[in-house]
Amino acid sequence: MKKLFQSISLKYYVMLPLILIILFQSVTFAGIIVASNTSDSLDKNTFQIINNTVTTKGVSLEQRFSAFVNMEGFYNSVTERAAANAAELELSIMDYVADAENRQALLQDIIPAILRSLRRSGATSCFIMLENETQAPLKDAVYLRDINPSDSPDNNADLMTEAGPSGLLYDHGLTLSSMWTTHLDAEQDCTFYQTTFDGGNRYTDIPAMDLGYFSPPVRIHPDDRPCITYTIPLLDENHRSYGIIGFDLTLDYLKKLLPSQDMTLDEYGCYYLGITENFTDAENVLVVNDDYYDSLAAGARVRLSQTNADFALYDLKAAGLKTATCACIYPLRIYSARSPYADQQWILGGLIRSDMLYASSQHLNVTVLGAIGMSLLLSITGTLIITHFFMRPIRLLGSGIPKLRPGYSTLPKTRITEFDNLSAAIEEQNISIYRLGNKTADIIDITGVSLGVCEFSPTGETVYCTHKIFEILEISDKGWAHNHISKELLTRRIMQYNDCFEQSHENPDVYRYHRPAFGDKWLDVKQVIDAESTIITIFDITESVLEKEKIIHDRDYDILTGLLNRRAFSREMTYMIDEGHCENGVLSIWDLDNLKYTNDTYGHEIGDKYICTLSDLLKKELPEKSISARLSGDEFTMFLYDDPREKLVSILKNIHNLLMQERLSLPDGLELNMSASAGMAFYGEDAANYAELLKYADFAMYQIKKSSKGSIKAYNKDSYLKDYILVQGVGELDRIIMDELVQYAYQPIVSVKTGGVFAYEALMRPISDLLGRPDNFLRVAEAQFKLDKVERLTWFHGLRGFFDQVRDDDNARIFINSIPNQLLSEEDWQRLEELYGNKLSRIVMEITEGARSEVDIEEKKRAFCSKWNIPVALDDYGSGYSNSDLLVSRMFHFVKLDMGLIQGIDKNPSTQALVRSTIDYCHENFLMVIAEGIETQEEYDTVKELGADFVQGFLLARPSFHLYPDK
Amino acid sequence: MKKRSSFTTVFITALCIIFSTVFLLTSCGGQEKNGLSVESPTSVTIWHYYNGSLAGAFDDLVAEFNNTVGRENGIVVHSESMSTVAGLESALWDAANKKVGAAEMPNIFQCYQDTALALDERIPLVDFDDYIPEDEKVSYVKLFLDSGYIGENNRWKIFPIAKSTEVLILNRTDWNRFAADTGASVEDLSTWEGLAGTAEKYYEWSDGRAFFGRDSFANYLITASSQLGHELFQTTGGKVTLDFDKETMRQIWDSFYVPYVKGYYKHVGNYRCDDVKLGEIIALVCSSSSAAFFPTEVTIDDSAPYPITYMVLPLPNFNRTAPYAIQQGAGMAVTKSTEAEIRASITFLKWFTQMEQNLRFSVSSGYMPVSVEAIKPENVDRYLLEHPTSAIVGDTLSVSLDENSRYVMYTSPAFVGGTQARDVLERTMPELAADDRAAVEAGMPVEDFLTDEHFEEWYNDTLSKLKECCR
Repeated sequence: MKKLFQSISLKYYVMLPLILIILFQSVTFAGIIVASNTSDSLDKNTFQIINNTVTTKGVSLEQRFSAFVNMEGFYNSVTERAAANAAELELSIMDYVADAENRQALLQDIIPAILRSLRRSGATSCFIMLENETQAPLKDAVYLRDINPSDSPDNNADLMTEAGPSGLLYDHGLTLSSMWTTHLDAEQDCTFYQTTFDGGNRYTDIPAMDLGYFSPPVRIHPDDRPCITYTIPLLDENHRSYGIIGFDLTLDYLKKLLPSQDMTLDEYGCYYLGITENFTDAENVLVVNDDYYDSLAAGARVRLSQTNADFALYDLKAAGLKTATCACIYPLRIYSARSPYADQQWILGGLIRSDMLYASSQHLNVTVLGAIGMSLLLSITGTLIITHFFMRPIRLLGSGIPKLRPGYSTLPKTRITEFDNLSAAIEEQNISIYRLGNKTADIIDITGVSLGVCEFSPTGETVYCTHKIFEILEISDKGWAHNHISKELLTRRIMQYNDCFEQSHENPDVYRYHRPAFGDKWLDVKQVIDAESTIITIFDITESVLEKEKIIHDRDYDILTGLLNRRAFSREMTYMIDEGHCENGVLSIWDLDNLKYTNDTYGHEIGDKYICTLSDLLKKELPEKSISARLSGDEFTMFLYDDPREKLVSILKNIHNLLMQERLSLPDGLELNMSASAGMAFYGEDAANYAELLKYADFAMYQIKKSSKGSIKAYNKDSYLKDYILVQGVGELDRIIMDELVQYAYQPIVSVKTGGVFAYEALMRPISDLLGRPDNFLRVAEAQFKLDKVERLTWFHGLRGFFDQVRDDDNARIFINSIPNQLLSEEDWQRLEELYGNKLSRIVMEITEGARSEVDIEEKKRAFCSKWNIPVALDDYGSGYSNSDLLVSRMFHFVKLDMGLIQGIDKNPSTQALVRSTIDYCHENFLMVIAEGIETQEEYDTVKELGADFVQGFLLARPSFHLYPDK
Repeated sequence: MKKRSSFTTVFITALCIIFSTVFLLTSCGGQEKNGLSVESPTSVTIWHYYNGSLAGAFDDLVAEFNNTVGRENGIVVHSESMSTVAGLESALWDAANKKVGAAEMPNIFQCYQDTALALDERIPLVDFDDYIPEDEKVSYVKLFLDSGYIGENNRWKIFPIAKSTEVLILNRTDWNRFAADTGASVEDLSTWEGLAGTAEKYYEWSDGRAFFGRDSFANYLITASSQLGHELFQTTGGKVTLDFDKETMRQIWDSFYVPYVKGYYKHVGNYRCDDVKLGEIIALVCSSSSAAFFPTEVTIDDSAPYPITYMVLPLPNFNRTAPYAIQQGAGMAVTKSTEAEIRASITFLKWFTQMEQNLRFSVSSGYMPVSVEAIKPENVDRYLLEHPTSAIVGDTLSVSLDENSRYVMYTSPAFVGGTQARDVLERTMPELAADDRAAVEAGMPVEDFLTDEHFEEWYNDTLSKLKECCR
C-alpha cells in the first residue's frame, strides 16, 4: 500500500500516457483490420483468382477441342469419298472396304482431306482407321502427326507419318516416323478404335457426330509418346461402322497448353486433366503437369470432396501426395448431351497446396501484425528515447540539487528557460536559507547558551556547524570562517579528541568530556537522524551536573563528617542485606559518651571535633568491605561484612581502643578522654534483616550506655529478653492498646507576633503505672512491634480529644506526632476522612526524623497530607536526630527547634548563632520556626529576638487534658 | 552512472532490434538474383527444330529444368518445336521482320552459324563472353566453342548444346545376304571409291536396286572439297572467298553423280532413313542425330514388313586423303532482351549442357555432348551402362566420338549468304542426278549424262549461283 504513494519519476508521467496512446492506436488498428474482414475477402479473392484461372483455361481447352470435335467437313469428305469409290465399283461401302486394295486406295484418296483437317484442327494428329474383312487387329490406317500445330509451314516437312501406306512418301513429300508402320494395332495400342467402332453400331439412333469419343491417353505405337484421341465412327448408309476417323493431342502438347505457371499462387500449382463418372467419386487422372505431383501420374485414382461450392474447390486425396492438396475443378463440356459417353465427365483441375490457398491472408495477417509490432516497437523505443532526452535537463537539475552546497553554490544549467529560472530561484532560496541558518546560530550565541549544533547528510561533503561547538569542545576553529566545513577535515580534527569522550552510565546521551588542560566537562549530546541528514546538538551541562552532584552528595552524606547519613546508610544496608549482597557481617552502633556534656560544657566546636575524631578514625581504620555512617548527633554506625566474625570484631575493637586512646584538647588546657558505647549485632546470626539487626545492635549499645559506657559489646539475646520494662511491659502494653487506655494532653503553641494560640500539640499520656511515661510506652511498643497501634491511637484519640473540645470560634490547628516508620492503613485514612472531612486541613503532622525513617512510609504520609493540605512540621530539630540536611531534602512547613537548643539559649551565643542561621535559612525557604521548651522569660525574649515565629513551653502553658482550663 | 549505462544498453538493444527487423523485412521481400525472382518468374521461350522423339527428349529436359532449377531461380522455359530447320529459320525471319501474325522473337533459338550471323544484323544476339567467365568456358570442348565464334569481330554468339557428325549406317540384314552372296566387305565402305564399287556390285546382285543414299549433300561437298585441298568458303574479316575448284568438283561428281545416274545411289523421301525403311536403299550416310530414325524393320510395297538390324560405320573418305568429317549441329543463340531474360536463358543453357543433362540428351538423340567431361568415352560408356537406350543411338555415339578423335572435324565458316550458298550446294547436284536418273529410267541412255559437257554445265551453273550468294 505504501508504495502506491511513493513519488514516481516525471519520466513515467510522460512516458506511460504516450505508450498507452500508442497501444490504443495499435489495438484500434488491429481491430479495424479484423472488423473489416480483409482476411476473409482476401481469401475469397484467392479462390476467385484460382477459379478464374481454371475456368479460363477450361474454356480455352474446350475451344481447342471444339476445333476438331466439329469435324463434320472431314467426316463428310471421307464418307463421300468412300461412298463414291464404292459406287464406282457398284459395291456397298461395307463390301468396298472389305477389300484390302480398296482400303489402300481409299486411304490414298483421302490423304488430302486428312492433311487439310490436320492443319485446320489444331490437333497434333489426324487419322483414319478402316475395318478389315477379318476384323484382324491390324487396321489399315493413315496417321499423320504434327507435333507443333501452331507452326504451319508451306510444305509438309513438319509432318510425320506414324502409319500409312509408303506411297505417302512419294506422293506427298511426307516423312516417316521412326516408328512408322503401315497398319495400326487396334487391340494392343489403339484401344479407342473398338469403343468408337462399336459405338457406331450400337447407338443406331445417334448421328455419327454425336458419337465422338475422347480416349484416355494411349500410345499408338508401343514406344510412341502418349496422346489422347477423339474419334468418331465412320457409318455407312445403314448406320454401320466401317472405320473411324479422329484426332489426337499428344500429352507433350497438351502439357504446353496447360502451363503450370498459370497457377501463380503456388510454385507447385499446376493443372491436371481427369475423368470421372460421378464427379466427386474416385477419378482417373489423365494428365498432370508437374513433377511435384508425380504420384498423380496418369492413371492414378484420386478422391475429391467439396470444400467450397462457390469457387468449385475440393480437397484432393490420393496415395503418395506430398502435401495436403486442393483442387479447383472445371468440368469440361466436351460431349454433347446426346453423347453416349457423356457420363464420362472430363474435368480440368487446378492443383494448389492447401496451405497456399490461405497464404495471402496469412501473409496479410503476418504483415499487419508485423507492422503493428514494428510500429509499436518503434513508437515505444521512440518514446523511451524522447522521454530520456526530455527528462535530461530535469534529471540534471534533480541530480544537482542534492549536491547544492549551502551558500553561494550554483546548479547546472539546462539551457531551458523554465528550468534555468527554477534553478536560479532555488539558488536564491539556498542563499537565504544559508543566511537564516547563520542568523540562528548567531542568536543562539547571543543568548549565551552553550549549545552547539552541527548538521550533515550522509552523502554531502560538507557539514553545517556552529562555532559554539568548537568553543564547547575546546577545539580550534582556525581557518573556518563560515559554518560550512569540509566533513573530512572536521572529522579528522574531532577524531583527535575521540578518547576524551566517556559515556555516562546513567544517561547514554551524557558524556564526560575529559581534556586535562581544560578540566572535565559534561556534555549532553543528542542526535536526530533522518533519511536526509543527521543533526547533532552538543549542550554543555557541566554546571547543572555539578550542582546535581552536590545535591546528591548533600543528600547522602553528613556535612560535618563526610560519612553517609542515615538515609543513605539505610539504603545501602537494604541493598547489602535485604537484597542479599553479602554473606555475613556485623552491624555496630556507637554512641559517643558525654557528647551532650561536652557540647554544653565546651561548645559545639569541641563537640564537633569530638565527632570528627571518631569519623576520621573510621575513615582511616575501616576495611574496604564496610559501610559507615553518622546516624544522628552522637550516634555512628558501621557495617563490616564478608569476613570471619572474629576478624570483624577485632577490627571494631581495635578502632574502639584507638578511640579510647584519643585525647581531645580543650580550650582550658585540659584534655578530654574520648569514649563511645558500642553495640554489635551479627547478620546471619542475630538477625536476618536490617531492621532487626539495627534494633539488636541498638539494644546492645543501649545496654552499654545504660551501664558501663565506654565499651563495646555484642548483642546478647538473653540480656535483651531480660530487659525489665520490655519484658514486663508487654502485657501492660497489650492492655493499654486493647482498652485504648491513652489520654491526650494539649499544649498550646503561641504566635510570637500576636501572642494568640496558633495551635495545640497533642501529647500522649498512657493511663498506666508501669508505662505511664510515653518514652517507656513507646519503647515497649516498638520492641513488641505495636507502634502501628500507637500511631493509630495517636491519630484517632488525639484528634477526637481536640475536635470534641475545640470551640467553634477557635481556628487553632492541631499538631499530631506521627511515629516514624508507622503508617495508618488505608481503611484508617478513609475513616479519618469520614470523621473529619475538611477539618483535616487543620492538622499539622509532626514528624520526628529520629529513628531510621523509611522513605516509602513517609512518602505515603506526605501524600495523605498533600491531599488534605496538611502541613508537615519537623520535630526536635537540632536534637541530633533532625539535622539541617533534612531541611534541604524534605519539604516542611514548620520546624520545631528542639528544647535542647532552646534551654539556656540566652546564655549561649554559639547556640544563638546556630539558631539564628537556622531561622534565617528557614525563612529564606519559607519555613515557619517553632521554638520548643521555653521555660524562662529570657529564653522567650532571645528566641523572639532571633526571629522564631511561634513558641511553646512551660512558660506559656503546661500540657493539659482540657483545651480551655479555667485559668 | 548505473542508470545511465542501463539506459544505454536498452537504447543500443532497441536500435539493434530495429535494424535487424528492418533488414529481415527487406531481405524477406524477394530473393533478387541477377534480376530473377521466385515470386515473379521470368519466362523464356526457346525455338528448336527437333522433331519426333528428339522433340520429346528435349521437352522432357525442359520440363525437368522448369521443375527443378527453374523453380528455384524463378525461370520458366517454354519450348516450341518448329519441326524442321527450314521451318525454324522461316519462323525466325518472320519474327525478326515482324511479319504480320508472326510470333515474338524467342529468347533462345536453335541456329547455324550462317543464320546467326545474318540475324545478328537485325536482332542483336548476346555475346556469351559477357556472361560466361573463362573458368566456365573451359568445361566445354574447345572445337565446339570455336564454331560458335562468328562475324567480323569473332564474337561468341552461338552456344553449343549438342554436336553431330556424319556416320555410315548399313541395313545389316540385307547387307549380310548380299555380302554372303558376293563376298562384299565392309572395309570397302571406308572410301567413296570403295562404296561406289560396292554399290555397283549390289545393283547387279539385287537386280537393279540402289545401294546407297545420303542426307545433307552440302556437307558432302564442303567436307570433300576441303579434304581434297580446296576449302570452299574461307572468311577473313567478314569477307568470304570462294574456292570452287573444278578438278576437285569433278572428282566429287564422279563419286556421286555418276553412281547415282547409274542407279547405284538413290534418294526418295525427305530422309534416307525413310528410304531404308521402304527398302529403297540399304546404306546411308546421315547425321549422327538421325540414327534414331533408322528403322528396325523394312516394308517394301506396304507388304508385310520384315525386321532388320543395323551396322554403324565411320564416314567414308576419298582414297589416300586425311579423314574429314563435318562437325555440325546448330547451337543456341540468345537474343538481347531484359537482363533477367538473358540471365534466365543462359542459366537454362548452362544447365542443359551440364554433364548429366548433356549425356542424357546425347544418348537419346545421337548427338555428341559438348562438355569436356561428358564427351569422355568412359563417361559415355558409364552412362550408357546405367541408362540403357536404343542400341543404334549408342553405337552411333561411339562411332561419332571415334570420328571426333581421328578425323579432321570440319566446320564451314559462317558468312552472310552462307545459308543460300549452302542451299545451292544442297540442291544442284542431287536434283540434277535425280532428274537425270528419272530420264534414264524413262529410257534415255545413261551415257548421255556422263559427258564432260554435262559436268561443265553443272559446274558453271553452280559456280554462278554460288558467286551470287557470296557477293
